[in-house]
Amino acid sequence: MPHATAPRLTRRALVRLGGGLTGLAGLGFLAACGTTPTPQSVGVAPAATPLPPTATTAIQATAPPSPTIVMVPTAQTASAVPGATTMAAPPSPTLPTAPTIASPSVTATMTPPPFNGIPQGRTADGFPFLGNPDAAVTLIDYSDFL
Amino acid sequence: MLTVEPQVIERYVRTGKAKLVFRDVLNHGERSERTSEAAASAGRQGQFWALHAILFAEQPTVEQTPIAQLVPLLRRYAATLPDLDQESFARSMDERATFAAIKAADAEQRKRGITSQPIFEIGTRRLLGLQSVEVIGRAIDEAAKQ
Repeated sequence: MPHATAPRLTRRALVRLGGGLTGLAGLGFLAACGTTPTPQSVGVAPAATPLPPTATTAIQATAPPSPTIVMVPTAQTASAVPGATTMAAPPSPTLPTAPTIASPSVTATMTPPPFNGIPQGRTADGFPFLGNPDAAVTLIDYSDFL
Repeated sequence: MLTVEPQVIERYVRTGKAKLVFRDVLNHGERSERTSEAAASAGRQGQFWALHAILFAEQPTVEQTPIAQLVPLLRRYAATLPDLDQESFARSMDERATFAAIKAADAEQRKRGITSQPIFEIGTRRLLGLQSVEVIGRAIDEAAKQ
């Protein structure tokens, strides 16, 4: 009965096998790092079609260079920060002046005129009077406080 | 009467020649009503003239304060009167306890032609509009001779 003979591996096959194992190990490492491997770095999968040079150029063209924006104090000039673009602080917005309403504050020690010593009371029909109730003359002031 | 009244009081009321009676004229709607009610509410406690003096002194503020803030302002003025029971004053204002009498007096006065202010009645004379101390004094002197 003839011995079964192990298939002979050619040198090229070993090289391919080694490359495949290396690629699998690389995949595992990259997966552990959370990085999506690019097909080119694996070497097992068929090589992805590289982006044509024109596509790269297009991306670079549409992405504007992001300038470094540095807010500098007004006393610091832009030249103090190399490569910085000075963004001037916007002027404080001028809000319309609110109409002034008379302050309803009241002085705590508001002192009325010196009516002290002058008789006060109400007339027979209920109106307030000031002065001698028996004065010869009555002065009626029809008014209001406005 | 804002500037004339103190002089009239000193010359003719304090000296006993005349008795000054104050009667409200309601020509400025709710603002007139509420200030008159405040003075009358203070008057129920014998403090009419004290608050009367404050209201005249603070006339510009009373005129310019928004109507919704008027009663709180009047309460703060009243609070400067040390002898005024604030709780009773506030209750009088809240209940508008003096309003009916003030309105009735104003209605009666209008039937007699009291439709503007100030108007002064001195003896048998009626003076319309602002008057000088001298004019009021002459009218008092003439009334005293009658």
